[in-house]
Amino acid sequence: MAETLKVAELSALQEKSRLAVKASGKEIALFLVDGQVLATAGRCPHAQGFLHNGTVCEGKVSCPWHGWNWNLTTGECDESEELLLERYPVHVEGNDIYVVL
Amino acid sequence: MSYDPLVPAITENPYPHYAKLRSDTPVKWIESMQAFAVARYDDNMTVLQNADIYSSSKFWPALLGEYDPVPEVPPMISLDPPGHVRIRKLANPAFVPRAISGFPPKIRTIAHALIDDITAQHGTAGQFDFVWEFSALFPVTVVADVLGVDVARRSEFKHWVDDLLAAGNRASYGPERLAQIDKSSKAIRTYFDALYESRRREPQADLISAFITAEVDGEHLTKSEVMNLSILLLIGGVETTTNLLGITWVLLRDRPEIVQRLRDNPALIPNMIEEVLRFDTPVQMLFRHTLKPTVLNGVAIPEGSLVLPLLGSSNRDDSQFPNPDVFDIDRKPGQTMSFGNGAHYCLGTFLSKMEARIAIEVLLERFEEFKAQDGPVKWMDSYFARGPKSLPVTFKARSREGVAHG
Repeated sequence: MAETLKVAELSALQEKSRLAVKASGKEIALFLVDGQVLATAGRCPHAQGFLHNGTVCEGKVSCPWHGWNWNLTTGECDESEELLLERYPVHVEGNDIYVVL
Repeated sequence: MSYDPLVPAITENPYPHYAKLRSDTPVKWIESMQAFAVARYDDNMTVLQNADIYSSSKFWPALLGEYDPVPEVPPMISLDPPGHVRIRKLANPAFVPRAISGFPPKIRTIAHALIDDITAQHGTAGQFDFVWEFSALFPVTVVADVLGVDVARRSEFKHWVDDLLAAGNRASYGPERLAQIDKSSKAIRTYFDALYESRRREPQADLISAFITAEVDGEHLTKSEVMNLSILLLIGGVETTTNLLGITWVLLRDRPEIVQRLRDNPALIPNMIEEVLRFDTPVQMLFRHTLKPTVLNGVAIPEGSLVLPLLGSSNRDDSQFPNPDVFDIDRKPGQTMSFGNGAHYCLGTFLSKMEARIAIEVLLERFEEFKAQDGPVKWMDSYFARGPKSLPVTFKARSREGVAHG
């Protein structure tokens, strides 16, 4: 069953534009892209690289370990048709970021 | 006898020694290697995922020493993040699943052509050396095609790469063997030097030409960097998949019931390959170097220490793999250590598994009988790479009617 959890504060994300958080035992990466908060799995589906350390360009995150590119909105990957990056719905209320898991 | 990777009697079957390490001394100082060996799965995850402590910078120097064919620049395998990913991104596009999804027909043709050569030379039944006449030639032909090296010289590549990897054992060799390793190291450099010059003058549709023309952060790779990256990919592509195939047929020798299952249902092959990779890992260990003092599983490791993540041991860790000493092709092994982990996770993972699957499919199609001969297996002269040095097989080819070719 889906649960909505507060995972971070917006001011912290605004400072760094990406964050790694944990909620319900899951590793989650938060990105601030063009003013929008996006939440994905924290680890790259290819080989478990830490996505919050990647570079973000044109709505895609490039994994810092092997450079695989993931669309932060659709989860699609440039390198493989089979792998998909998990995304989570996000609500922002005031300074609080909530993620639906 | 305690674990020592420089003792051939131990590397022939390291698994009982690994088991003892995992239970008694999971992080152990190895005097002969002047290094800490790490035996457990979780500890190796820690090592491989924390490049800020466990650096790869001395990987190549530790393995090759003075026999590094291009010692003046570190290869990709010896770079730490963030510099590593810049070079990795250059090599990536050629090896990701989307890029290789069109390869199977070509790979299948290469496998068939090698078997055509074998039956032309040995007839439709008899024996041949699986390593020297098939498994050593098959991956190098695929990689040669991608990279742009001369397929006609593929047997030489195997000799050169074998010698380079044997350099890991240099401390235990006499002058004659060392001279041979030195000769191979120089030969591989000479070959890639000439190839670089030829592609620089006339670029082709191959990876070496792509490396020469590519820009990283607005700069071209130097000649040494191109040679280094190319040699690394050749070594990676030649040795590992060759050994994966060799190990597969060693394991299948005593398991005719599995061969029959694979013949009846080739869809079982990919999972069997995963289990071969787990059970008897072609790359037995990696090399890391500590950038600061640290503590691993209670053992203090000083700054500047050589650390050896034992991949072959991690893959037998029962905390991760129940009944680890049982070869079970129905097991879903999940995340093995066979391709490493972290930033240096093997670039060729997908290509290697694709090659192995197609080779096994084609071998079973073309040979109605195919079995490694009994007797002790002669393993490669390396604690780093594991695979049979040669493997005589007895075969009977299927008549060509009814065999789909191509």
